[in-house]
Amino acid sequence: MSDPDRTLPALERLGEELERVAYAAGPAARRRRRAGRRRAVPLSRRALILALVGAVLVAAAAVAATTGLLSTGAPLKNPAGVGFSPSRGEGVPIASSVRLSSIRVADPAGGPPWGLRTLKTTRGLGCVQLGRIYHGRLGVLGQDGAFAGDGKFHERSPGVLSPFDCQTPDAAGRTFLAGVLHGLPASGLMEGCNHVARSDPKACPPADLRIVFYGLLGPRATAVTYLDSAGRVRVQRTVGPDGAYLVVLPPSATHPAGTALGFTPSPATGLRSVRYRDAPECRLVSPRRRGGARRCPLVGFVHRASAPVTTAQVASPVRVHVSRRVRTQVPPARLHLPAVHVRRVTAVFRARVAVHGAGSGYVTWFVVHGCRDAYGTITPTDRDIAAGEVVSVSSDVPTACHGTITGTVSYHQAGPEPANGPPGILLPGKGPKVGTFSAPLP
Amino acid sequence: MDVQDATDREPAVPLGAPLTDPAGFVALYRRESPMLLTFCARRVLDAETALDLTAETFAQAFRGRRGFKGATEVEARAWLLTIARRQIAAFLRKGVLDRRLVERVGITVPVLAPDEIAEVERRAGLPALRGALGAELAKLTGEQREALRLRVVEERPYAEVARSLGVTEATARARVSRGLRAMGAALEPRRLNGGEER
Repeated sequence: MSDPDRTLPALERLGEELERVAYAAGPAARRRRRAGRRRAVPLSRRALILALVGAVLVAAAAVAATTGLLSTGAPLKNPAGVGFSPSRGEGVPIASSVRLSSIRVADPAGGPPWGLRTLKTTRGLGCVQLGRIYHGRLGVLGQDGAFAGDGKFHERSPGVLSPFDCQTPDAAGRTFLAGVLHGLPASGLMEGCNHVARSDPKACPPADLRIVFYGLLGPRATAVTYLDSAGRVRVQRTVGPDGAYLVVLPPSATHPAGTALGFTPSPATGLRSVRYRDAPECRLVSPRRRGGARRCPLVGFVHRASAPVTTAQVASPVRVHVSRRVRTQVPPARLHLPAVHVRRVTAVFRARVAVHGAGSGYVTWFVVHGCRDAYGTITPTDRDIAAGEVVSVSSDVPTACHGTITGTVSYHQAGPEPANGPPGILLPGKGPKVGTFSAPLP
Repeated sequence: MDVQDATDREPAVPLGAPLTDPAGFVALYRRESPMLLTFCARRVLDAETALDLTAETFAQAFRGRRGFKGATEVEARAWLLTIARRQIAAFLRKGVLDRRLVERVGITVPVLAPDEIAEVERRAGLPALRGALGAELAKLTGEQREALRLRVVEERPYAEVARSLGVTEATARARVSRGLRAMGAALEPRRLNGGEER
């Protein structure tokens, strides 16, 4: 309670009350200036009535324009073919964990403010979702090519997850995540206009792009500093016990729009510094400096203390099967790539150690050296697995590859601190080895 | 340092969203509420009363947000401080808190925990301020103290102050201004927590 940067809990609660009242009231029409008290020529009664009717119509039109702009459209859905289940991938949100953060940041062009939502998933991940807030709901706007530019608000349910939304929480269940988006369409959706290719006829106009820094810094973070569009240092206090922060800026010379995205457990770029209670301020260095970007320390992160799994615990024979059947894979037409003939190679092993949640899993590495270019795939199991369960992992190898396919199955366990990027990205060869395999290809 | 002086010297940062927009009003609260709480605490010398006054000030600002004509953060702060000064003056004059707008708007004012009270008092520098006030009041003449009570606490016009004290209006003004100058250094915050640094 001795940190001058920390918002008093009572002020936080009062702020939540005001926010509730403000959003319940909605936008207020600005009071028009009073007309001059004296008129050279008094209005006739009929003219006065017409003027009053006209004023009412103008006000009604203004209200209709405002509310019409924010009428509600179809909810945002996961992309076709992407589904979530409680025991696979990121899992599904636990309803009781979904919280809309009280942080709100105005968009440079107005309209619904930006906000954050936090949640936990059935696979033990903590996630932060970014979007525009309207009537206490998080979603995206039908603009910048999204939803055919229908101008409506489209709610995003907690179940519309992106792997980049999530991280493995600390031992106390708190999520630490820092997102950087150098060129997110103001709609709040990375779809619609092309935010990457400026030469594309459907490229997003620069004015429609936003530079967004957001995330959760933990309970000891008190504030972030950043450079605004004019290059001035600004301070934003963190909000709530998770240490939420959110900066939304228009592209500028200070923060040009680009293709850079970043998702790390703590800020490494974008911001200028992070301030903590009872810890030194973390100054972020330019990633272009020698040594590159460095992440801020995870202040307040409670390390996981799970016992490491050993090779003796997971070792198991791995069988491999090469299918004789050849299948044809046709890449999406927009990629203009030729069809590829493949045959499926499947590694089978018995999982001696169970997998519960996204913090651990088995990883299979397939390698063929007999291709024109070396072929290799890394396939994580990405689901919950019971101890003793027989697991099959497959890779589609081009028929142009000949010789011998070799591979390794290893067990991956999340370290004491979360790694950069989504937790599902598991590197092979890091954990205890289950076994190896090899088989000739036809 | 006077709060108004500090706002006058700040660069004119435009409001991200108008106060008529819920996001704009919430941003105003987040930006200014810590400063306003300290501002009130230093004038009423009581953390709980200061929080009530802060809530009532924001409730009144919310009710009157359509009437705000400014476009910058500095103007919004000055507007808010004007409302707060009126609230404080009314409280000092009547001796009771006015919670009408808080109730009308429908805001529940939180209760301060003991450690929060201590924190508000610490941030506002009240322990030192109380000591300084006692010393400053002792320095004032009895006439200055009475002039300050009539003009600042009871907000009476100078003509009335002059009549009560049995002096000319010019003399009443002089006594009040001398008293205020003597008290001012102790009443104003030494430093403001700004939202910007260089």
